[in-house]
Amino acid sequence: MAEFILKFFLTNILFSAIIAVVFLSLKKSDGVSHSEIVLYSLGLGPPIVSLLLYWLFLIFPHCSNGFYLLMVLLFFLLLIIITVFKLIRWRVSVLRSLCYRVDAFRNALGNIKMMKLKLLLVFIISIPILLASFMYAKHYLSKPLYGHDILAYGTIGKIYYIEKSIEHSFRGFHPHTGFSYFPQHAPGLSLLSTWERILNLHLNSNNDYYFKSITVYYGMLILALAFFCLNKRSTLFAFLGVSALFSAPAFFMSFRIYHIDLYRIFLLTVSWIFLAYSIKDRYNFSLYMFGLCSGLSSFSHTIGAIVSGFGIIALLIFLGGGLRHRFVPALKVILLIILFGGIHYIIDTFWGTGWIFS
Amino acid sequence: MISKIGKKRIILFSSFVLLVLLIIIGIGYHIYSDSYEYLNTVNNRIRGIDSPIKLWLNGYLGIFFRIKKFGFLPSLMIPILIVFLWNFHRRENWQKILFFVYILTAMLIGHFGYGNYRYAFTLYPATVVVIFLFTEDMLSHTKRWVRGVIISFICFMICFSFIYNFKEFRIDSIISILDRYKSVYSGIFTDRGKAITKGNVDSGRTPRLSDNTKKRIRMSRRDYIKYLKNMDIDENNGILVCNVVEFFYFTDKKGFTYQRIKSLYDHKRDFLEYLTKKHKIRYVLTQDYIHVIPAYFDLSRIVKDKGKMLLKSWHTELYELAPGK
Repeated sequence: MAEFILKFFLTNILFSAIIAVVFLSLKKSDGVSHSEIVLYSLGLGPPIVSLLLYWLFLIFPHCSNGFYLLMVLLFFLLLIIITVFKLIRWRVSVLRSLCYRVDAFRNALGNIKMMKLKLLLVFIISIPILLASFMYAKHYLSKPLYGHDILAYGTIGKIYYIEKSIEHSFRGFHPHTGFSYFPQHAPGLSLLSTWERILNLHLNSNNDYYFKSITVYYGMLILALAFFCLNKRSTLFAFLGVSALFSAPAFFMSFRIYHIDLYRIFLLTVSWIFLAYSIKDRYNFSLYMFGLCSGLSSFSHTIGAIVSGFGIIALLIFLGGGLRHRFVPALKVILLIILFGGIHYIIDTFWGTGWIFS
Repeated sequence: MISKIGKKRIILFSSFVLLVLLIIIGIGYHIYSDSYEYLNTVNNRIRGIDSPIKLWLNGYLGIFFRIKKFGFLPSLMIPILIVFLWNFHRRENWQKILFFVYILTAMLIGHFGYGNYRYAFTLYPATVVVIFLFTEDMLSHTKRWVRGVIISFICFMICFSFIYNFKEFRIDSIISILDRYKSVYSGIFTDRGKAITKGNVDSGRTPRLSDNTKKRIRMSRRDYIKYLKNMDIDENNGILVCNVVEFFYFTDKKGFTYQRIKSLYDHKRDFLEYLTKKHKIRYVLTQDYIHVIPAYFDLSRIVKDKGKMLLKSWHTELYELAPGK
């Protein structure tokens, strides 16, 4: 369990925190709040790690496990070094934001009746969440992975780990294991299994707890995202909304089975949020974030790739101004989508299995 | 945004919501309640034999009306979309862009992914958030008692969904318990799945086994994986794997996937001979649904006639081919 916590902390918390710091330092406008960026970044650490592995396997195939681990760690170290020059400015805005929050909390404390209601709601909501977390840790993580699709994603990840190259994914057959498959989706999730295996080798571990925890982690992030969106308008509705979300059999079931769904849905939803911001506030930051998140969403699933196309069409239609004002941002987004995962579909279409066109 | 909508439109919207709910509760639930869908199995929609009403409500419009999976709430999105269209010219651009992308995605999923609820699930979180934002917006301009009634109604719907979930969870558990003792294909025939929960159905499609044999070959998942890892598989004792991915995930052995073997099969000789002579297949690891899906009948026939069942765990079966049998 200790190795799992380490893997989880490194990939989901530390790397995500570094990404959050980078985004906060890049953000010049006041369109998206700090807390929003932190929340979205919490889900971006794992897909960026898998994307890094993808590019590394593409450019430097067949190297040692230590090389890939070192390259990923170096990348995040480099991000910190680049960002450190902007940290002072960021710290000031964070302090300002914190002061604002302390004031808001103090004001909320003044209204005792409201606070009691909120505390009661927190208590009511926390009980099932705590129970579910306990049950999950006790019963689910230690059980062998099950479910056809997730096992296929895991096996593809295992093959990446064996080959240290992405070539085989464009053939749909791995001669060494005999495993054949039709790789419709980009390997965003599979490469997390590869990442875990690389870490396992250096941590002297042999479990797949991290890969299994992805579903629930992203499920919790989706709940947090829904709460955050609704809480801007009403705390009561935020609690009701989260309860409603969790009460649906499909969502409830998604927590119990291992699948890609919650992972891809989170990335898709975040890309939509930035799409709305890029139109609403007209800041380049939101536009770039839309491109980045759409790329990562594409990198996780084919639906993400197609819906990213819808996003580009929507940008072309709803961005005001002349042709240049519409096409230049759309082109930037397309390039970002390709860089952050869309490249897989291009290679697969022209030099691989033909993707969905075959 | 709803503040600009007049009193008449609020009444129209509320009436529409009530109408939708009445239709769903009154008719929809009745339709859905007579069939049981089991997770991750072939269902009627995929096989194209669903009735038109189910095909539309459960399939093409499944994002909004697939009550069994998403509860009642997403159906409220329909009136919201109508109200949105009604005032489309007054909306801000960012709302229009989200509406545009949402509708296109819904159409894409409805057209290509209608058979599988997991594709419709893509839009579920966004749908719920939009519904609650819209409702909150609408309620902020209403009287306190109206607000109270509607919030109580929402609470009731959430509680109902939780209770329903618990019921599903129990059915699921019952099926898994029964499955340990019976040879069943829960969910392949949806009505059968429901009947299984009553404990009076056995599919009768697997090879008939005596109770003693069943006890001997049935394994827990852990034991089954351990068994696979320890199997003696080499170039002369190959294994044919039919949709059992755990073999590749948990073991480091080489297997032949059924799909690949089938694509290479030249039809010049008997399939069994092709397997045993050409690829030196000794074991067949397969899902038990090969006995009910026509595409796999050739393999089913081989394992029934020439195979000896070594183990069964959940829906997976392992056979040893014995051509002399």
